[in-house]
Order: sequence, then C-alpha cells, then structure tokens
Amino acid sequence: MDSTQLLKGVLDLAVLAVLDERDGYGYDVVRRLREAGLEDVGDASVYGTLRRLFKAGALTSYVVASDEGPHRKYYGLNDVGRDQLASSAATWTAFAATMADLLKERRPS
Amino acid sequence: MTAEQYAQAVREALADHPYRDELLEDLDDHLAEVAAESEVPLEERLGPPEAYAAELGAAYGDKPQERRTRFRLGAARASLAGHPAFGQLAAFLPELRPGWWVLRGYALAMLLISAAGEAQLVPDALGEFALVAGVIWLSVVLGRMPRGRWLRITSALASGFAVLALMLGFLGAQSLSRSAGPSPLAYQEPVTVDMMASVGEISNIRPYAKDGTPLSDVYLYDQDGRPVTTNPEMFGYTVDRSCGEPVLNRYPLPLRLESSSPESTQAPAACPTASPTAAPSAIPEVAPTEAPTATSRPESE
Repeated sequence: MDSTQLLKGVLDLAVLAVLDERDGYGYDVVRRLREAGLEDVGDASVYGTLRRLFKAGALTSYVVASDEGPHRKYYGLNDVGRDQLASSAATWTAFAATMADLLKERRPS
Repeated sequence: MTAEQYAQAVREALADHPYRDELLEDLDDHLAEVAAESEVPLEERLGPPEAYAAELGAAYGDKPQERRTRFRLGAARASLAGHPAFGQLAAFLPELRPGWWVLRGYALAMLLISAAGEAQLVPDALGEFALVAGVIWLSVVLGRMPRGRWLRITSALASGFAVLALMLGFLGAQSLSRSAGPSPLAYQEPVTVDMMASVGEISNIRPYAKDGTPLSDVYLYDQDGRPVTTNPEMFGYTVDRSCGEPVLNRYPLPLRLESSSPESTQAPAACPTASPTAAPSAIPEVAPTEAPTATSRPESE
C-alpha cells in the first residue's frame, strides 16, 4: 500500500501533533516528521499544509531572526489549533482502532 | 539552480494561483533553509520546481483541474524562458499594458455611447468626452490594482468587451470608407433615361462640343456612376452590331432603322477603332467575337 496516499489524509493531524510538542519553523517540522518515521513526507506538502492551517486560523506565527541563516517563521498552535488537534486525534484513534480490530479478526495471530 | 531561482520557478508555475502571495510568503526563507542543509542541488532533493509547485497547491487546496493546466503552462513557460528572444518579448509586453488600458477604456466608452444611441467611433458631445475620459480612468485604475481572483475576472471581461467594441468599430469604419463613393472598379447596373419625364422621345444622344463640333465616343454616367443608356428598340431602331457589340452608353449610338434593308446601311462607316482599354474600366469589355461574321468582304468572293 502506498503510504503517501494514507499520509495525505492525516498530514494535518501529524503537523498539528508535531507543533503541539513545541513550536517549529517549516523545515524543522519536515525534519521532525521524518525523524518520527514519516520518511516519505514531501517538503512542499508540509509547507502548503502549514500555510493552509495558518490561513484557517489554527496556528500563530512569529519570526525569529537568525545570525547564521535566513529568518525563520515559527508556527505554534493556538486554541483553534488545539481544538482541531483534539478532535482529529479522537477521530484518528477510533479509526485506527477499528482498522486494528478488522485486521485482527481477519488474521488471528 | 540556487534557492532564489528555484523559488522563482515555483512562483511562475503558480502564477495563476488565486492565493499565490499568501501561499508563497515564506517560500524563499524556507528554501534557503533547505538549501543550507546540504550541498545536493534543490532539484535533486525536491524534484522539478513545477512538481514542487503542484504539490504545494495540492496541500494548500485548490482546484485539481486548474492545477493540471497551470502545471503544463508552467512547464511550457520554463522551457521557453531559456530563449533570449522570449525573454525580450516577455520584458517588452508589460510596457504595452498602460497603452492597452487606455485603448480598452476608449473602446468600452464608445461601446456604451453607441449602445445608448447612434453608433459612432469618436465622441462628439461634451458629455461623451467626459464619459470617455471617465471610463479610461477607470480602466487604468483597474489595470493598476493588485490582482485578485475577482479583479482578474472583471479585468478579463472588460478586455473582452473592449476587443469586441474595437472589432465592431473597425468593421464600421471599413464599411463607411467603402460607401463613401462608388468604386470605379465595381460593375454598375445601367440606368435608362426616363422617357416619360424627358421632353419627347430619346432614342439616341448626340453630344456636341461648345463650338458646335459633333462629338463621338462620349460615355455618359449618372450621379451614381451607372452607365446612362437609352432604349432605341422602343422607337424601331436597332443598335448596329456590325462592328461588334457596342457599348450602350457610348454616344452617339450606332443605330439603324429596323425596316431599312441591310444594303442601305451596308457601308459600315469605318468602325470606330474602339480601343476598350481607353474606356473607363466600368465599361464591360467589348466582346469582338461576333464582328467578323457580319462584315462582308466582297473581294474574297
């Protein structure tokens, strides 16, 4: 199964979860998602998702000047973002449990 | 490709994205960050800029159908952009835009004026001049506004109507210049001198110069350039065709009475050495095919 297809549906949730841990700038979010095991995540997909969540009012942003590199725009969750994370996480948990049950019934170990 | 060039290519590929500026606000910083991490070129790590742009658009959310055409347009532009002639053209075209805004405003104003009243190409009243100036001003303001989705639609509509108005105007101007006078090359239906309105009956016309010299081979035309002809058959005359088909508005006409014997008119007074080339071009060409059969040649018998 192509994991990029699965990822599309849960990328919002994954990005929200990463930012809930601590604020981050675009490429930092990409790296943390990859470190967490989502190696196929696309840079452009993460960047586009961040911009969309920001536009939807789920994120706050602030610029941090950096001496050695470009300015970094950090994103963090606001209340809207935290609500969205909570409801999406609940949906995902239920969905994942259902899938786990399904697969367990089909192939009892 | 540097991070700036890559970002520029992405920007161009997303040229028509309704929220491009919002979406790409941090793109330069972001790509610089990515580029700083490794020596490997961005194209290898992120793929071609067009694909990156397509993925961005998909993640941000826009219409997939539009995105596909944009993607192709973006790729076509990217391949063209390498050509110096294209670069010059692309740099030159924006300079024409202010001129187009003015022309567009003028055309729209004239379309409005023509729709409200008589069709015209130039304003001829004070109010019309004011309207033209106002619409041109609006058109320029519209052209200078930052581009959003609705503005682009409005602008495209205005331009479309302006193009329509210009084409109508050109067509109108062309037909005006055509009807300004009879074209000498166009064939005109002959007019017949009105017998009833004239004094007596006219079967032929004999023109004279002012010193009394009879004139021959005089072509008569009416005010519209139509050949003036008489109707000699009504008076028992026939047009002498022994020298070929005569031009019916070249006076005096070679007439003979139908009742007279052919011998009496046999001596065909030297056929006018009619050189059709000397006649105005409106005269139908003389077809000389019939002539030799009618002219008898005694010495050969």
